[in-house]
Amino acid sequence: MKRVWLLAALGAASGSGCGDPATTGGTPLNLDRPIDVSFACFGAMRLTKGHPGAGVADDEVLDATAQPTAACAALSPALNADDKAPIKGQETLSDGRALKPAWYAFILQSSSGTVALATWNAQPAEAMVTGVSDAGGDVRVLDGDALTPGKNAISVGEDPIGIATDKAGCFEVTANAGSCDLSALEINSVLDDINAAAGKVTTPARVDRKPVTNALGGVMLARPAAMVGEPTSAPVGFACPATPTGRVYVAYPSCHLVAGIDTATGKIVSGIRYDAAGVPSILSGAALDGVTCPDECTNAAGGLANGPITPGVRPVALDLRFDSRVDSSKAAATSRLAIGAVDSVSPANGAAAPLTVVDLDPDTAAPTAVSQISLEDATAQAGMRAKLGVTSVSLSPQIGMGGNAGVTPVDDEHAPAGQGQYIYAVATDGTVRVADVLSLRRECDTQVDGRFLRDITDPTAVQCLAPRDPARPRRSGAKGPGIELPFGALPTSVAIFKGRTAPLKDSAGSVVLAAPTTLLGYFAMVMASSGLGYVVNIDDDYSDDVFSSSTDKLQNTTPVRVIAHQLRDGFFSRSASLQSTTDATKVCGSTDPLSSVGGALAGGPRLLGPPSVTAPASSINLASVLPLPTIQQVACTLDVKAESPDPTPVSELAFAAPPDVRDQAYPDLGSVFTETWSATWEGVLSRDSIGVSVDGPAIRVGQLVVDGFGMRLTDPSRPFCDIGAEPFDIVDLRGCSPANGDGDCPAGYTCYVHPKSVGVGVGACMLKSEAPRLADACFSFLTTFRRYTVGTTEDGQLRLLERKHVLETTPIDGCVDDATNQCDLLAQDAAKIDISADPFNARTHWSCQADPLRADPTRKRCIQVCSTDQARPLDCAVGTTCQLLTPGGTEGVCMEGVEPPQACINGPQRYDVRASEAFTVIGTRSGYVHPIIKDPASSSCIRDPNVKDANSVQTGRIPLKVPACNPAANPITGQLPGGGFEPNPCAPPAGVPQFDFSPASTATACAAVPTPRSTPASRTAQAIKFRNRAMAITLVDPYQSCMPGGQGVATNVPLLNRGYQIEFQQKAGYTPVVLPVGEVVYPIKVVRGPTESIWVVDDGDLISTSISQASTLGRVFRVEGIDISVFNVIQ
Amino acid sequence: MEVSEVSDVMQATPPVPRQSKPHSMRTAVSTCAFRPVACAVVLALGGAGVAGCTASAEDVRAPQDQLFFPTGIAATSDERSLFVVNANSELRYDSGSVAVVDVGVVQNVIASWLDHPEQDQTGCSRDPDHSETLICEEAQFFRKDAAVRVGNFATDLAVQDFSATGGITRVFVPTRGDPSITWADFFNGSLHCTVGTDSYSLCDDSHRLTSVQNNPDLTAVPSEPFGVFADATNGFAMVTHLSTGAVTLIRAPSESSRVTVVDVIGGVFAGDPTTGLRGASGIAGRQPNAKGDMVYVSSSTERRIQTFTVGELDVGGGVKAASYLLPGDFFFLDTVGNNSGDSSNSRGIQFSPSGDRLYITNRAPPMLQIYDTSLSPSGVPRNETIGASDICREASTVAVLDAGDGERAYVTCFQDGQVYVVDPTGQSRVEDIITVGRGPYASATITGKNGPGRKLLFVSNFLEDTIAVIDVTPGSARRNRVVLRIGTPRAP
Repeated sequence: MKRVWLLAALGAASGSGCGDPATTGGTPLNLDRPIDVSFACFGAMRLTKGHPGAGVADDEVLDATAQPTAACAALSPALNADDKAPIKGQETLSDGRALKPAWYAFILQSSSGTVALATWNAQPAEAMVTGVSDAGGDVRVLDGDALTPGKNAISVGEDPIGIATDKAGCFEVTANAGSCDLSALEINSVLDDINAAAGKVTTPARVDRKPVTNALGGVMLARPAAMVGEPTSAPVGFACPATPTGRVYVAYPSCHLVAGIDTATGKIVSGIRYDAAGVPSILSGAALDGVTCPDECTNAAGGLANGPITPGVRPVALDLRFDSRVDSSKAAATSRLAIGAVDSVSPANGAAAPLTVVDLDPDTAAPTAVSQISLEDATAQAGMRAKLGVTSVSLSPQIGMGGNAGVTPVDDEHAPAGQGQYIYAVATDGTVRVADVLSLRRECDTQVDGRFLRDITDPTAVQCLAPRDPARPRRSGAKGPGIELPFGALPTSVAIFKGRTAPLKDSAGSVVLAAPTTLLGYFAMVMASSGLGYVVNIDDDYSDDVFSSSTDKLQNTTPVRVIAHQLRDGFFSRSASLQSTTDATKVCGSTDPLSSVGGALAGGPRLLGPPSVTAPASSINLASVLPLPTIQQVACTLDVKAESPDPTPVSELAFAAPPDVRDQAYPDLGSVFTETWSATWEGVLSRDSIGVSVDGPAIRVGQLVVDGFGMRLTDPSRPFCDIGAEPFDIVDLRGCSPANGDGDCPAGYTCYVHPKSVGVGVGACMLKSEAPRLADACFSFLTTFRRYTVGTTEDGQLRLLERKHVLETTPIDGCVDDATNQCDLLAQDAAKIDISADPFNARTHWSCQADPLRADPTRKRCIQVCSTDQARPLDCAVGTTCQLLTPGGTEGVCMEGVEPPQACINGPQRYDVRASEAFTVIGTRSGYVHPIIKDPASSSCIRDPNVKDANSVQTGRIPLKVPACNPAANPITGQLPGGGFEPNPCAPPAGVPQFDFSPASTATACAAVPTPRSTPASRTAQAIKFRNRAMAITLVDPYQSCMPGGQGVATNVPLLNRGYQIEFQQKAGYTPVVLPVGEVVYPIKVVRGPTESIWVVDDGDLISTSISQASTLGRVFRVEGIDISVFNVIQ
Repeated sequence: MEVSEVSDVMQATPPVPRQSKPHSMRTAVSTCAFRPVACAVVLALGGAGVAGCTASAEDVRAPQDQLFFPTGIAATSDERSLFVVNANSELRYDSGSVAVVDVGVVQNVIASWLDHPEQDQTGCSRDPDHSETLICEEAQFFRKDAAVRVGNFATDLAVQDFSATGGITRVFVPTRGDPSITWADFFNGSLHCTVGTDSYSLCDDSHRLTSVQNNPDLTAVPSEPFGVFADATNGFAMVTHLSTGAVTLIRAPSESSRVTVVDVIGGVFAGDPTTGLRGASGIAGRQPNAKGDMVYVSSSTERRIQTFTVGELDVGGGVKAASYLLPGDFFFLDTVGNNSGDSSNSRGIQFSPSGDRLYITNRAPPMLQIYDTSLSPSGVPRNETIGASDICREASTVAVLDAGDGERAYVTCFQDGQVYVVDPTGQSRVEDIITVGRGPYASATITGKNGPGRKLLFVSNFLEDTIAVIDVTPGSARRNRVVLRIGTPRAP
């Protein structure tokens, strides 16, 4: 029998691949897929029974009892131990014995229906140290069942979805989706007999199951999705009651109801219900007393009742915030419930209403008022179910916004930016939406383009920016108004917490520079599907409140760092510059600030090194050509070590460039990534390779069709609009590489290289049986570069046109005519500087002609022509073929690709698409940014009509022929004084100053090859200014006013070969702070804990592949709100 | 593809012996080329058996009315028949088989059981451990003469349904033992994969695809065929290969005589850093039977999803037919899990019926990932993460069904014997966990569209030779419970 089983097991592994091997590693630890956590205080307590003042000797003392969390909170202030003092009445006993209640965490585990236990001492957050449970950390995991080996959890119910501590701090209440009821775990029954040394519970815990009923006794059998409880606000000093106290709010999605349930009885005592129109109302009277829901759990009879589930608003997320603060700005304590829902009904076109705010009575938690907050949803239609939903919410207290630790007090009463209360909502569009629910009562736009926020001087104005404000356009490429996480990660959960209440100070009492992980003010922690946690600044009191144009603050106060609701930047001293550095070792080649101000993790965006220029293999004789296109350079005069000439040319993007220059180049830090950019002349529109997926593979595979409608490239994956193909672009058919044998071709095909193909180097996939037969018929196709012009563009098809061979040094304004032999002279000059150019000899001729197959056909091009006239034969260049103008004639044009018979192109076609007569600008992370979309009414590719004005930065091409810039335009935004924007890209009419070794361009310089200067100097250069989302760069010397060393016959000649590339590595982009807690697999929830700690609940399995690391079934992380670099791992 | 990758495929695939009928030992020997450890045991046992006595052909003939290591499972579009592949992974019989289950009988038995649980059901008994489950001998559910025999170690099954154009239905079954891809036509209520009319016949060579264009001189079908997807409108099927990262294209028009392998792309995925094996695993079409459908392929060794479309050529008379694979966009599973969004070892993948949502089962970490595959303004699938849920370890496949109250994904958990029910609403959440039996591998859904029957999920339990039938009808008191177990669980 065992052998049979062995075979079966092997079959399982080998036969079906169901259980292939895979991993090693240690044993799973104590937790088992935690999903939620709540907190309680337990230990010795005086039974003061409410008498005022300090404890007295007559007070009975309970050595071990659950008690309101206020008792532990008093012993664990956020900051210094001096603030640690027991709550009134719970002072040290007369015998000197201190009452030392401790914190306990009840960790809910859904799949097993259990609660795991952990504990730590009530101590200030500053005293917490980083560690791992039971291995030196502050937190210890307890065993809930001493009689079973290992550390066990306590069973509470089927499929519990949430846990909360009751108002008295004596019970843990869970809502169970598996049985549609509540469970109440009596804390004393769990902890009163715990063996402190062993950390084991030795007697059974008491768990009471409570069916949920309405006032009439009807049992509610709906499945809960979320639960929150009242805070444990009962006074300290009373013995625990026999039943739970206070109420919990439970969301029942299928019932469109959030019910307030008395935890003592399980009876529904309040409710907020959505009607068919999606409008919430507070239930009262008979509607409340008789509230029912469709059964989702079987009733006592084993069936389901109360009708089918109906469509409607489905509440799925809750948060409750009791705000006890009372001061001059807030007259009374407040309590509010936030509800997040899916399937809301849109109140208007373009708006969803998945957020509801319920005002609660601070004492009874009964609802007193309800209102909805609309969120932008472009797809929403009034009265219809909205696509946008909310799956996690967190509500802030009322916050005194603004303030700067170095300038003003940072408490909530001093609020230079006013008061605010915010909901953070994880939305189904993959962003975190923010809304002000205090006074503005609307959504806040977190994606406003930082370039348009620099003029704001009133800090109040940036606390909740209005969506769709025409004066403050949204960042190009933003999904919507919500906070987006890097790299496409989804937010899973959010919690708002408070950081430090006072800044770090040195011994002299001055505020000191704090690390980005040190938090002062209010923040949100957003956990991501990738396992990472991100901090959002709500009120960062270490920073300024508005942008400052002061040179020493430019990048430090860039809007994304100072306004509310932005991912916290992980860099120090963004304004650090070479100019501000006093160190004696600074050189103009510096790329980073000094370590005293943060080193590599400080400073604004900049280059890692000088831009590199790559010319196609040995194509340009650099000794003969100066200067080639590059990024504008400025003078650096700060080189104290004299390692470089003084002054030294540096890129406008370099660290050594003046701060205001670099600031103009990077006007919105929020859009800048750390990545490598390249600008490639006639470059490919995509750059994905096998390890990178940003904008699609550079080389794709499609099919060619030639019929009565011409030649078309089809690709069933329909990529052409997506890659940004435009008419007059270039399609290169890449054929197959003979070096790969037939590996580039399908089975049955061969990579056929025509024997007379010279200089092309590629073959074509042809059926093995047909290739030799087709050699003659396909001769022209097989022996050319197979380069075509794009005629029309559709998502799945490009119409291809034969492409004429044009001289690369054709003037950008076009040639004039053949009368002066201009094109031949240019070709002659080109041959001198471009050693790969077509040889110029007596058998070549370039003619100035209009080319309707190129953009702007009114500009004439120098086109190579050919002739079979034996009296005056003219040849075509390698890779091109002579196409006669008339059948039987002798004159023709040299073509880079011809329309072949269909039989030549039946194999799959590898191809790429390139911009024509333009630089293609691509970032390794941004990809090729373009404005092309598919026409919704057809399959044609069109320019997105919404991409204009401020969003004209959504572009990735730099043609050489561009409109003139407007000198009056705002240098940061490109906005014109009278409205509108200057073109992008554009050419500064008077050129730009360029600091380098090249001589100034003069008429006489055209006569000879210019000689570089020995020392750099400034000159005026032709230029093109280009803006994209990340930067505004100036391309200098895109063309020359005459051919250097040439015959002086042309103006504005481009010295560019296809593939000419300028590349630069951009560093110090916007780098949000990441929660540094190690490996989190899948953080399903983040919870605000005692002492403003943050608890990350990770329910993902860590599959260890290391013998030294245990596999886990989930973990919980406690992170200190005052300094997120301090954390405890509970596992 | 690089030539070296193609070479790898060729080197990894030894010449396949061409015999008219596979024999169990030949199959075992063939398998041993790839599974030396497993086969050492098999051969040793086989050797011992041979030394003792020789079983007759009849003795080792695969039974027509039993389940033996069921793997792939799929229903016809009219939901009247359910195909189940028996992998014969124990090599107890001379072949595997594709059995045909009468869904109507299943519905009747379930209806009778749920309506009158107190009544005895012939050949059935109440599960002593799960009172809501009826266990029935499998024979009564099979159409015995409808089945055919196939090679051993079959892994999956795909249905190609030409009924919309009045044509037949066809099944494709990858078998790892040969390795080959077997296909059979389903008409007149039976599967057919031989020239003759014998019932329960072993599929002949013309229905067993082993090389391109069925020409042994051309590229052989790579080893370890694993997942299969078929498309009737576009006339093709595609197969993934678990140890070479290859993808095979089968031209499969409605005319059966033209079914042939036309393209193989090897090494689509990067290799496992430890074993060097390249694994192509799950495969699904975004909009099956829509013109120009895009097919997604997952990998067990790389965290990448590769898309393909199929190039068509005129094969005469103006008829276009699938001719070669066109690799398209790809994307990385880099937004979920492990502190850096690093998910790997993908297995089954499945689309929602609209094609706007893709479900991917991953094993490291164990997650069900959900991607938005709706078309972006530029006309291509967005391929963006929209949700994820922690699931069991060693998940195998995923099925998707909207039974009437919203879509659900059903993930089979081979190791845990469970099916996870995931509600994709919002960011998704595990709604239920159903214990289904040992070794659940594949699942198929019945929407009840052709009758008053219940909405059902069929799960093949590989390790216990049963099919668990789960009631997924909204409003049912037994929703997400196994109401019927077809076959008596084999003792472990």
